[in-house]
Amino acid sequence: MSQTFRRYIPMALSAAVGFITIITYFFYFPLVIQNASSALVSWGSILTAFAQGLGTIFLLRSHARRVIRRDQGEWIYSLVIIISTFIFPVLFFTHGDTSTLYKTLYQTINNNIGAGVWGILIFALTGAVYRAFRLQNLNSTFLLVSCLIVMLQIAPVGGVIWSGFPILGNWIMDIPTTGGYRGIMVTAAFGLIALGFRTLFGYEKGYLGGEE
Amino acid sequence: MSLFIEGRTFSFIVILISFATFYYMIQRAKRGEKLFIRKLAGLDAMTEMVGRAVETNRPVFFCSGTTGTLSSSLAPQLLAGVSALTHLSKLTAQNGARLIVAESHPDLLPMIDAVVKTNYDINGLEVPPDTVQYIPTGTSFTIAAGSIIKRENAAASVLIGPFSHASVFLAQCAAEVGALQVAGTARTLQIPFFAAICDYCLIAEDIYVIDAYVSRRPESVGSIVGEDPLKIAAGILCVLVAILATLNISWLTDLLSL
Repeated sequence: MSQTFRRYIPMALSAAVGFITIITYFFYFPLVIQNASSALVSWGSILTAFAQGLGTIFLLRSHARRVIRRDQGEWIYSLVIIISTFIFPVLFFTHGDTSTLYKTLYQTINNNIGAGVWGILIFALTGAVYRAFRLQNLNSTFLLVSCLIVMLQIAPVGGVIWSGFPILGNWIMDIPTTGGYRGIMVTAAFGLIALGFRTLFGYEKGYLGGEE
Repeated sequence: MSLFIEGRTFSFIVILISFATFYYMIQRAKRGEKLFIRKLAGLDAMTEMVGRAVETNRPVFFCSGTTGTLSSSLAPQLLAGVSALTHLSKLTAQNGARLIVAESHPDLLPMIDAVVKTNYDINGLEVPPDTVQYIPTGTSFTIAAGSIIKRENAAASVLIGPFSHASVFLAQCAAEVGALQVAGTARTLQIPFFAAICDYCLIAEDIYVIDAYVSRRPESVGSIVGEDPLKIAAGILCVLVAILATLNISWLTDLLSL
């Protein structure tokens, strides 16, 4: 029975929903079938919204466990998460989301942390650029040279040094880069069709936990 | 009245041809014909990564992306991430390595939980507490997941799925603790970051073949090999369209936009 629930029912549902949404994407069907297809797509959004609630319960459960266990160096942060999870809904219902208190708390905490993370990303990017720019072989040499040209195209000083940098930089972005990206997108599209084929016909089992 | 919705006829024909090609290749694979699939070093390296984690007594970190939902166009990438986790959790359960899954998609959480539990159950093991950790998406996820990698001193990091700007941060955190990394996404803007920072990079369609590559079932192998003639045909078509469009001949472009 559990095998039926865990494997065959999800596979059958995936196939049925997939077929209905695919055929209604390509063909004109009576309104009732079109509506059924739209409803199935909407159910996806409803399930996602429901999952947010489920996620919150999961979050609270795992952090409550840490607080109860008094995990060294972590439980205090878990407590902050639990309190924060309740503060905003309580303030929303008591003061509304346009109140000064709600806005101040949100803007002074959340927005600043967000800005801080973006700041940290610069350092992470610098690290990534350092790794990418190390001259190791012919490929990395091409990467280094083209990146330098594109950087000089974007930086105003590039045009001052040599008027050809903006032209060359634009050419690199418009021709080889766009061509490369489109190649990736076309091959990814065929990969996606193959994945859809395997899912529709029940050959894809990875998302169900693999083969038993 | 036309049967097809306007502008979608050619797409339907492409899908029909693709399905027919996959079916033909699957039949060939089922007949026992040896079909060639190129090696995906990133997937082959997962065994080594888990072995290294066991030897050094450090955990393996996994993340199935930082953006998208199961009802969005990024859903296939999320499912690809789950397939990667299926393979990885099987390896960690078999070898006794510690696994940490940081999950930011609440709709994917039950699936992730079930996948890990199934693979630990098969090996007669209980899933250790805090193996799957839900962290709401956004800034909090970026910081928390990066902190987990650093605090737990991950031996290996597997990042497969739809990633946003957090890709750089997570990959860099793992690089700083010297973790062996496999990363893959079909989001073109994030691929260069993974290629620059990680040891192994799965580019775009590579992430969709994880289950098929690992399982080597004839149906899976056939469908992967079936992609090759389609890609060649698409390449030829691109060149033809470019030549004809340059010569101001539009019949092929008109045919494609049917």
